[in-house]
Amino acid sequence: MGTARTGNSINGSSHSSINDDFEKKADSSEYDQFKRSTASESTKEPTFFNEMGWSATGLEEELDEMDTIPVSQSFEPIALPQHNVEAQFIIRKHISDQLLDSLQKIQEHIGEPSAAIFARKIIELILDMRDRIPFDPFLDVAMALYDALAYKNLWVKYTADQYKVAYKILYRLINVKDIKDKNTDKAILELEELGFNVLPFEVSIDLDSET
Amino acid sequence: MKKRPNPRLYKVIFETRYKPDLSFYENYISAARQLTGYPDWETDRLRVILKNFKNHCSVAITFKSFSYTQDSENRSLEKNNMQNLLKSLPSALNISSFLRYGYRNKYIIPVNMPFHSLVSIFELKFHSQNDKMNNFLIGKVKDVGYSFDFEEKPFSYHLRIGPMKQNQMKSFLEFNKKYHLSAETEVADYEKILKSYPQIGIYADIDVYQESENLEASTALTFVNKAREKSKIIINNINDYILE
Repeated sequence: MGTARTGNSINGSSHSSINDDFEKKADSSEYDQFKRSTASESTKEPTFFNEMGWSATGLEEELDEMDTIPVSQSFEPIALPQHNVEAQFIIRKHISDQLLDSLQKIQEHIGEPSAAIFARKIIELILDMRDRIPFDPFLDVAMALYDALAYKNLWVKYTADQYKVAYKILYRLINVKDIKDKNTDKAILELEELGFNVLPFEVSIDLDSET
Repeated sequence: MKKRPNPRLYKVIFETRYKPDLSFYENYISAARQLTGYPDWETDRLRVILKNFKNHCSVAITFKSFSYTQDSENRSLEKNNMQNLLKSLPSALNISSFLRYGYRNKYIIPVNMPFHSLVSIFELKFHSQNDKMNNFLIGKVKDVGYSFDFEEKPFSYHLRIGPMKQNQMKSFLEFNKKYHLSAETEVADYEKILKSYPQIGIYADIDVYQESENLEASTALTFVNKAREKSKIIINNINDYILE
């Protein structure tokens, strides 16, 4: 508890202070997890989150201001330490309660301009979830729904019944603490079978012309 | 159903204030003698402190207030001691009315998660998620603490709450070493107590009070019983809200 706040700087000193903080943690597995996530952030290709400006806010601007960057001192975006399952579950539950509420309300307003308010709320809540608990498996399903709703305003085409079943699919997963891949895959497939366009960006490949 | 951790009570303070009266100095020692269960005591002739090192509790009697402090979780001990205190002291000190009652509980809800996760949960549940607010909270929020004052007549409340690491708990829980630990074993005992605090927890300081020009002395025990219940309700609701 306290009032001191520090910015999320990309310079080396801030990074090392976070590392120092974690060095002190008694739980070594947590520290290892953090080390792994930091290391992977520094080497991997730009991710969806990086592209969205999530983990490296202001990085581009600061890099532009630098004349040269010595290879040995290359910048590493600061990885958000991963939440433990318990905390992830609480955050998911808090946001999802509002998400389910909006999924219920949109059913009552389908075909009316007011439906846009709830569609927007759903989309914002999913993005909030992405920012806060990017490692939660539940996010895979939520993002599939996001793609199906946000792309080209597809939300307007779905019926109240489709939203009703989507509600049930999400509701089933929200209270599962340890979500497995097979659970998320199944839920996404169910959304797709329900008529939600969970892959709006897919490119159709003409296999015949290749052969 | 998810099992939530139980809030743990670490400190109880009760204080009542009254109009100073010169007759206090004739009565305070005899009043103190009526209280049993405090083998140790000290006085500077202006006040008297009764101490029980074993149960980590004490009573302080001064010309304008008397108080009970306990640095342990033992609720039944606290109830008994409060009952004895309020049954004997007002009449022994010739006090017919009070100016203020205050009943304060300090809790820790131990959690099994890293500090940054607990801060994230607090931020999510207590902050307005308004973009303009995020504009002046630059970067990532590293720590938070909240203070609320509210009122439900006739009671008023101060509530302080926040995520806390073990090394901060010492200064917030304020264990009374001087009155609640024997001088011979103080250092070792205090060390042990500090180590027993959870690594990470939610700190909650709930202060229930009632002020008036004329609080009848007979209402003191009723106040304490109600304040204790209110305090329990508040801490359980905090636990439900934050960790749900």
